[in-house]
Amino acid sequence: MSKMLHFVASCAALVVLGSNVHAFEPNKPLCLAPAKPGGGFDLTCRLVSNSLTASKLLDKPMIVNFMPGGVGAVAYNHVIGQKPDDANMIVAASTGSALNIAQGKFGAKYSVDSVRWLAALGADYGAVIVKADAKWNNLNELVADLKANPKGFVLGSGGSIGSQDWFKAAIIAKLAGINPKDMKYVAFEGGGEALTALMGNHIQIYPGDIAEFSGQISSGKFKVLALLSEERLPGQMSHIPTAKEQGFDAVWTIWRGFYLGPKVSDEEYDYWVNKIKALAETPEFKQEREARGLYPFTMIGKPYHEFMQKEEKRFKELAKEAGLLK
Amino acid sequence: MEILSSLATGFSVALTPTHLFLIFLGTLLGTLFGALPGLGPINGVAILLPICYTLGLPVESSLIMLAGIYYGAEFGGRISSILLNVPGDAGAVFTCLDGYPMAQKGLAGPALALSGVASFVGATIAIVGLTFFAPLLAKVAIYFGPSEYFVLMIFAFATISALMGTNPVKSLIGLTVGLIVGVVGVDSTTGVLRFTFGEAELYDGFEFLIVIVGFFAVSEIMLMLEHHSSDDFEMPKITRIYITLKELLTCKWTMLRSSAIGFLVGVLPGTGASIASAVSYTIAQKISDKDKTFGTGDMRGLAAPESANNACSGGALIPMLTLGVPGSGTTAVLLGALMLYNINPGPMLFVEQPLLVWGLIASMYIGNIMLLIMNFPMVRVFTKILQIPYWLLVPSVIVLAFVGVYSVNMSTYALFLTIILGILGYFLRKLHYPMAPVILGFVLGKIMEDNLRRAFAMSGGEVGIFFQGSVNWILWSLTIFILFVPMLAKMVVRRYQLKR
Amino acid sequence: MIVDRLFGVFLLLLGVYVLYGGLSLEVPFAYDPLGPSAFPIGLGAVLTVLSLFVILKPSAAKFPDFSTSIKTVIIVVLLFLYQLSFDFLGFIVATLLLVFFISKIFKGTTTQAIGSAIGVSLSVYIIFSFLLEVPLPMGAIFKPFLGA
Repeated sequence: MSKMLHFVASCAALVVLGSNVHAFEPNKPLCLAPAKPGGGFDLTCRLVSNSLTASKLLDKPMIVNFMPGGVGAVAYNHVIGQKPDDANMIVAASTGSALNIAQGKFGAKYSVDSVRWLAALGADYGAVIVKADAKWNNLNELVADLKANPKGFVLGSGGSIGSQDWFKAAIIAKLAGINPKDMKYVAFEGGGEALTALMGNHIQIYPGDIAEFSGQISSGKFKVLALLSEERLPGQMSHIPTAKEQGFDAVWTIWRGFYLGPKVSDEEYDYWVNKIKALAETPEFKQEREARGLYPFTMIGKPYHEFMQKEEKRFKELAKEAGLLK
Repeated sequence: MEILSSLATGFSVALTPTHLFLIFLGTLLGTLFGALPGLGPINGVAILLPICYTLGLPVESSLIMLAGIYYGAEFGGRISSILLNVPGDAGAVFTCLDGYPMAQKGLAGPALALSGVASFVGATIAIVGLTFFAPLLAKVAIYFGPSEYFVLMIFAFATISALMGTNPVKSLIGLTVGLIVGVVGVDSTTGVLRFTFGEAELYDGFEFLIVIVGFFAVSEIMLMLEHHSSDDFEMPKITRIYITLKELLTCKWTMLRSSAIGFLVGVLPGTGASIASAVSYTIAQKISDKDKTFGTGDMRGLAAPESANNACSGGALIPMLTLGVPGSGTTAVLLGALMLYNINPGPMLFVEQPLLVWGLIASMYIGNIMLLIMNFPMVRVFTKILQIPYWLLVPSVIVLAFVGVYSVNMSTYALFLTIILGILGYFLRKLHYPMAPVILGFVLGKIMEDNLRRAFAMSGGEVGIFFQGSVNWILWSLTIFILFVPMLAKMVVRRYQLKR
Repeated sequence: MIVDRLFGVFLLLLGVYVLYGGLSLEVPFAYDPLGPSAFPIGLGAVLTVLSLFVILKPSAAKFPDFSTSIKTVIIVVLLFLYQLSFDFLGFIVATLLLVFFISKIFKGTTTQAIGSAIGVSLSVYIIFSFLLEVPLPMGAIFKPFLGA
């Protein structure tokens, strides 16, 4: 009996020793995109997996897997419930995920503290988009018109009530003193459908995301009245004024980031934090981020987790204000 | 003329040895993906996209190959429908209706050959349409707002009233059950969860694959057991392999008509191959089914959905290439592929990337000819599937289908749902509830509800919005036409016969 | 006849459930007069009414003999067991078992069933895990032997 115990104990010691000798290194690095292939989460994952390989920070290729469902709800539940300690896997997330968590849509019992937030690595910004031949040339004209005729124009974008697309519409409505409940709003399946509806004049105002929209800019079929960012953006967007400089306090940032399972050890968490910190400095990463149309927005490790707690609080208040939460 | 010279440039891109090989590989792999139950074009493209990217293929090469997988899969989707009564993907549900009875009669070979030709006709007409009318049709698609989509769905339901069959009560129940399955999930306007039982996996509703595999593959296996256990069980014989020219010619109008329908349905974003094949099948039935042979192995009933769903996959490329808007799940993945290569799809794609776009279009002409040629030797190979003994065939089909379902979001809960729907499907089929209305209810219901409510949100609850604009009026007229013309025609014929 | 009627009762219950579910949906607000509950309510009502027709006037259906019915039930049970054990036993073992038993039900000899089981599970595993990069579960019970 004691012999056996001894054997077990030495085995356990060996295991412990073993893990001390070999610092954590992912043997099968994986990025989980909580959506179907081709969407924003796919690109978020590719941003990291491509630049990790290109900068040779990771010698094994990071593969991308997909787990669509509920804008990330399925993946969130999967990670917490089934793979809480899988340190091989990072999961893509965005402002939309934080909004859903705040509204309890990822499961009433889950909060942002149900997982470990790793890093945000880029951002996109909201934009007020209208048809090229619309009568408005700036945000002031649009807001004035909306004020005069609150039911005269239809806003439309790619998400249901409470989604991040809807919140952008609600922000515009509020600028014109309209209660978001009373605006005319149509929810489409994704930004592409909303854009087509804008082209056909079925809707008149499309609160979209600027990076997603960048392919359409040179077409000359639309104009962007305002960016919902703190400052003007570099590059081909530099001529677009922000809402702030037009006198409206309206900012909407869509950051893109990653989280790890809740039971990933500190050692493993730190490994990823250090990897991502190193990655964020490489030219390969910066190039890749620009190629994805994303703007700098870097927040890694503990500060990011704290940021998430603040975001959750902020979104809870927003949702309450809109009457979505009691 | 400008179009022709652009097309010529396109061919100069597509006709290099590398690209010819990639077209061949793409269409071949696509056929296999389409043929395997549970795997479809979306899986194929999604799986091979990262491989293309890692191999460092240039964007036009990747896109040419991925598109090959896309239409190849549409082409291959018919195989398991015809041979096993298990549709390989959404568009192939209607291929079962007459394809499987043909195989049962020993005509598996001609059925496969005919569907190959029908697919070729559909795909080719779609590419010609894509070549010449893409910019024009992109403009038409823009006219379709929520109210137009809703009236379009009314039209679709009107055309398929012919599917109601002999027992209208059971057909309507089937339709309702399909609609109810489609209601599950997050409501796209308000974000309210409907019938999700707190399961995150149900937030997006039932995945199409789950419905197809459950209703068709799982229940089919339960039914197979029955045939298999009966004493007079025999493997279906294969009487002949080839199709005659005469048989092909009887289907020529069906093929042309269905191709046009499929192409036009494909152009509209948000519709898909299942709607295209449903509408063209029922229209073919209304026009041609004088002897009530549809559903018992009528060749025209097989040619119609096959032409339509292949034409649809070509049509769906139009909104993708001209507007940067995906027309179907698979084109969404292709769009993602473009973005992976830092090409922003949008209205400027034709102008900014002419080599890419025209190379792709040219490659599709070539790819479809390859598929047609491959079709004939493959018929012989595929009919051999019928000779695989059930003790190997049945478990293989079920495992492939289940792994396909599992791979959608790595969840065994999806398998659970599949089995539940399988049991429901078994009883529906055993008790003579027709399955076509079930599937259509599932497919059309969500589009109809969403657009009805969007239109109401735009109009503030006014019904008038459904009668505004010429597109709506055209659609209403077509609906009335399709509902009443067959009746009128019958009356006229009867009167004529009375006079004689 | 009796099965058709029983299934009609099932449909009736489903209809009532959908009707009830539609009525009890709570929405903060909606932009259209219908809201998310109109469709479920309508569908539930229609199904309830239609199922009454079936219950009152069921039609005959031919169901297989007892032994085949038992086999059908066994297949369903096997599929559920497969689903339940998929993550735990891992793809290969769970599939080996499923294929073996289904093969036996479809009158395969033991040798044929074992052959199919090994052939199907290994070939599907190789195709999906290596060629298509779809990760299939290795099995929770084997985790200690395979390392973390």
